Amino acid sequence: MPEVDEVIETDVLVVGGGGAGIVAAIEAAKHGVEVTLAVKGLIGHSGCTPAALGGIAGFYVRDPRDSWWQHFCDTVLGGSFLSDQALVEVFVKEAPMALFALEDWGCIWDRDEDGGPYLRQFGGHTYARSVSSGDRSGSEMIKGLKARLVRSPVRVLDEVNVTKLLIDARGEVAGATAVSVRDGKFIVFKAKAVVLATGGMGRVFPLAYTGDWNVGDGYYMAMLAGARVVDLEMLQWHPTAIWWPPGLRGMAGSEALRSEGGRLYNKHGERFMIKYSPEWLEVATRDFISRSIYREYMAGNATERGGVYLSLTHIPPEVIEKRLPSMFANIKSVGIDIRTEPFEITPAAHYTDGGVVVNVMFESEDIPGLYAVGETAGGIHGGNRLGSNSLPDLMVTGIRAGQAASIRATRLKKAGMVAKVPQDQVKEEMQRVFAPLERGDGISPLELRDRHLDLMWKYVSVIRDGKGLGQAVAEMDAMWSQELPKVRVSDGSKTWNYEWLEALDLYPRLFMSQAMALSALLRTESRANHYREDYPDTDNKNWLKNIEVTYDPSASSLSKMIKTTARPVRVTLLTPEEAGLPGLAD
Amino acid sequence: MTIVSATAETKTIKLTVYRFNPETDAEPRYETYEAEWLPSLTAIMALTYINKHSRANIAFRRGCREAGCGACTISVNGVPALACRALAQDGDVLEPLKGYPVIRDLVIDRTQQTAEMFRKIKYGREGKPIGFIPAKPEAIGVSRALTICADCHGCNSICPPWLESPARFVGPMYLANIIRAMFNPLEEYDRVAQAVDMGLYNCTLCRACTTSCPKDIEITESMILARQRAVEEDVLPEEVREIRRNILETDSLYGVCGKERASWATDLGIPKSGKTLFFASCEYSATEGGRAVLARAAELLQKAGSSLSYLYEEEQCCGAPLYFYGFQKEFREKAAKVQKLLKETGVEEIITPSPACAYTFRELYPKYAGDSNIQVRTVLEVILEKIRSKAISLKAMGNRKVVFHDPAFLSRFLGMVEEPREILASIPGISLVEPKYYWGANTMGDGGLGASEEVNSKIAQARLRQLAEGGAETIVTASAADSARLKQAAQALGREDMEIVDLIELVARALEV
Ligand SMILES: Cc1cc2nc3c(=O)[nH]c(=O)nc-3n(C[C@H](O)[C@H](O)[C@H](O)COP(=O)(O)OP(=O)(O)OC[C@H]3O[C@@H](n4cnc5c(N)ncnc54)[C@H](O)[C@@H]3O)c2cc1C
Ligand code: FES
Repeated sequence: MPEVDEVIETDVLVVGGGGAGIVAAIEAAKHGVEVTLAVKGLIGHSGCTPAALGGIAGFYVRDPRDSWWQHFCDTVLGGSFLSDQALVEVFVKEAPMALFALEDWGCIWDRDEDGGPYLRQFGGHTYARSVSSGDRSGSEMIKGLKARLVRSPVRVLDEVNVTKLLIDARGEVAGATAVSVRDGKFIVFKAKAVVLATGGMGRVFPLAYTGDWNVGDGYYMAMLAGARVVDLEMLQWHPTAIWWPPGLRGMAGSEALRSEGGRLYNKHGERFMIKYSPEWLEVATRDFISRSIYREYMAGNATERGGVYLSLTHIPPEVIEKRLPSMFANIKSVGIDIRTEPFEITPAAHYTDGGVVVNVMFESEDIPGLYAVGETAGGIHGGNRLGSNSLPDLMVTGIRAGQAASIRATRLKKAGMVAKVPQDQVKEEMQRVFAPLERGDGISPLELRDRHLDLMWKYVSVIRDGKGLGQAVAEMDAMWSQELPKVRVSDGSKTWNYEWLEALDLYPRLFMSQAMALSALLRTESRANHYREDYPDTDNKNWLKNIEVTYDPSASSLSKMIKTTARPVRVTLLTPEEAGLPGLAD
Repeated sequence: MTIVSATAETKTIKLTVYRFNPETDAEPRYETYEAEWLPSLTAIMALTYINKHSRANIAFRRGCREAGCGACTISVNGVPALACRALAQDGDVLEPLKGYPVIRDLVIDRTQQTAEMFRKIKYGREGKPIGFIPAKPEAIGVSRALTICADCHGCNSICPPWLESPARFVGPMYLANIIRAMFNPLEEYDRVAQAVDMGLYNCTLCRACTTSCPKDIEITESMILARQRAVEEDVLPEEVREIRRNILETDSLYGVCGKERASWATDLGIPKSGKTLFFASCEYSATEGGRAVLARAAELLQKAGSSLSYLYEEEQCCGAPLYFYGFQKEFREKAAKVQKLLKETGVEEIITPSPACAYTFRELYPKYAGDSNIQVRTVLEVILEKIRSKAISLKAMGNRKVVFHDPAFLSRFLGMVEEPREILASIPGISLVEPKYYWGANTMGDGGLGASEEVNSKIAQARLRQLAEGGAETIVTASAADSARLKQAAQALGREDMEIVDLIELVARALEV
């Protein structure tokens, strides 16, 4: 029986080192409490944040026509009315301050000729209100965040994979368990508050345009601890991620590829958008294009390699060089000249709209002391996140949760409360974590991972229907109960063991994918990022509802462990009637 | 549109991977694996394939797969690369980055480095009123060009001064971050003093970082810009001031002027004026060894039919060191003066043995002294042309195993990598061994553009060891400065047995046989 190798006592534990986690840690540490930040990857070099491109919304104070209210309405309507409006309100109101703070921390956004910030307009935003740093806004942001972080009294633990939340007898957060990726040490954190900042779960799909290890760890841990997670069926697809050349697989083909006149063809050389949208052709909306491509796949019209063609060859080469310089260079770097050759694209999983159900301080509504920030928090983006709304989200949510967590920790400290770690939970977790290293024989985690990815792509991705979802649910039940307990890592080393990391990731992967499939099954309509072939219309009369999932530990199969419930959307400022949503009345 | 048809055949490639698990292995080892090939197969895809199909369980990092996060840096055939972008080719050797402790296989420990770097840099403003401070778009251009740096540690792992003398040079990654802040108009810290303190002037400007940067950032260029700021703000180390005094007083980087400078040409009867100017350079004129090469070069060119002229005592430094040390104003003045002199003497072409001077005349003069329509060639280019056109033919001098050391100015500034090798290949009997770290990996910096003698000689010694590894008897190079440094290094390491010879000299010998 393995032993606990290290016990770390801290006031606030932050889990995840993308933008949201770093911000929460910085903010919490400002208020005089001890903060520890544990990251599965490398701090500032993992998750989505360093790779973000386009911009950061929230600077609505420059254009006199613009306002927080306009940003609010854009966000709520863009999210197909599923957003938690109380959260959206604090988000938009505090976004400008967040952008200012970043410049104080050492970032600088592009400037206009007059010296003010250069603003970009993204889809769904009524006005230009996003600051940016060329097309590497995330890189600029992360540099400022890293620099500020190391100046804060935060203890940073790189490559420490947090696996489970510990809940005390009162149902409050007591800490978490983790394994060190570098040396396999089993760590118990005792903490008065835990902030989850583990990003989204796009990597449960084989084609994903998100950080490589983002498979929903935070949602999984929150659910197991008893928290509700919401809107999981809402997963944003990027329509034109690159499929071929495979070296760039998953990389986003810029929106500009289509707006500059790029054409889509199937394997027969048919320009299929003529069939689906004779009016808009290739400049139809993201979700529409994604579905059209997916339909081609299902009709057997994918290319031999499995994508569809995007061709620019009819456009003068000079135009391509001038208007699409980085796409041109990027694809050229792996050997394809887009001026003369078509390449292949595909829809790819991009952003997880849903997340942990939180209040306005981004504390879980179910577990005192548990906070969720950034992509891990649910509620702000509803059924569809607007471009450039996520980076400001991680700032605002990180700052708020950081403050709340430090205040809670201070209060508990003053009251002389000590976190009581439930030893039985620790023991059980240790067994689970080390089992794949110790089994004499079993299934390869990589093989199970790949089979699961294929399943998700087939049944739970761009276009869903009841039958397929049911199939996926059944297969995942079997994977969970029959295969997962047999997963075995090929060598028993505790030093940076690649297969072990993958084996541990299978838990959130399967569990959260199942929760996604079940939510999608329950929502018998199509809305925003969720599309049901058997229910193709949006049903505002019956479905202005959010779907929440909870965990039932007593159930026997995975699908029974996850309970889905629909509840009315949370309206505070903008009613569906005021917004003029169609189909409300009988 | 034409549809590219998928090729049905599957092909496999072999990759050799550095394996080391300190928990179980006494020694690192290399193992070779097969991966299914696809066009544009990246290193990450190949490793993922190998781990799945061979159950190799190779440890490697991956993050965004977007060339954005900088987590996945490894060394591919000795050159740092992002594994999510590097194309895997048959025969590639994948290793962890040099200069860092290995955790397992391709995974290195870089946590301390990163944290240290940001801790010392201290970005940002403290307690200032909140709000956007106006700034001009032009004012943030340099800073912006460095934004895309993902702090991937690749440049450090290939940087000679950092690898050999980390206490004196903080590494290009760190400096690039300081320079990024230096050109952020909102900054409050004194970035220039900080950069100088961290070793800005110990960078040898060898461009190893720039030519291997996975994000194509002009790191070396930004070092020069930072040096210009250091000059403007007058925060120079004493040795740099001395260098400036030397050049301005003696018209030469090495303080060689007058008779001594031109002594090699006394008996050669080269006219003082003519269309084709032989520019001897400070580098070659400074040492006896260099001057001997000059005499050989001039003879050789004359034999091959070039009619040369030479300015004798009137030859001046081209000003390159002024430029590279950041004395922008003095460089412009110098370049204008030299340009004027050249125009007055009716020069149409310059031939020089020094790659640094060739670069300066060819690339910097048009930019800073205006276009002069003077053609610039290195002696090696002329030699190669004569070999190709069969105007000269080289004879065997006996069998000899040689290694070529690429001077940074030749390979990374002028881009001449194949040319010297082609020349060597045309000398019968010569067999070339390549050092494990090819030109892309490590050179010693050139012409002393790093200001610290101590750092420079450490680099030269490390380079000599690399060159000696393959068992060559002779080191061939193409810069007098590099020859001189390698000779010092050979002495210091007790390797005087290794012959160090300039390629021009070697060609001259082969002509004579
Ligand atoms: C290519 C790309 C471009 C984008 N462009 C934009 C844009 O222009 N504008 C915009 O607003 N948004 C953009 N987004 C979205 C945005 O970048 C992300 O939504 C946002 O950065 C998420 O931040 P986060 O901190 O919540 O999570 P992430 O940045 O994903 O960080 C997650 C962190 O959690 C860690 N972690 C995960 N599991 C564990 C565990 N079990 N234990 C410990 N640590 C764990 C990871 O290692 C990582 O450090 C883009 C996304 C991508 C991928
Ligand atoms: S995985 Fe992020 S840079 Fe390669």
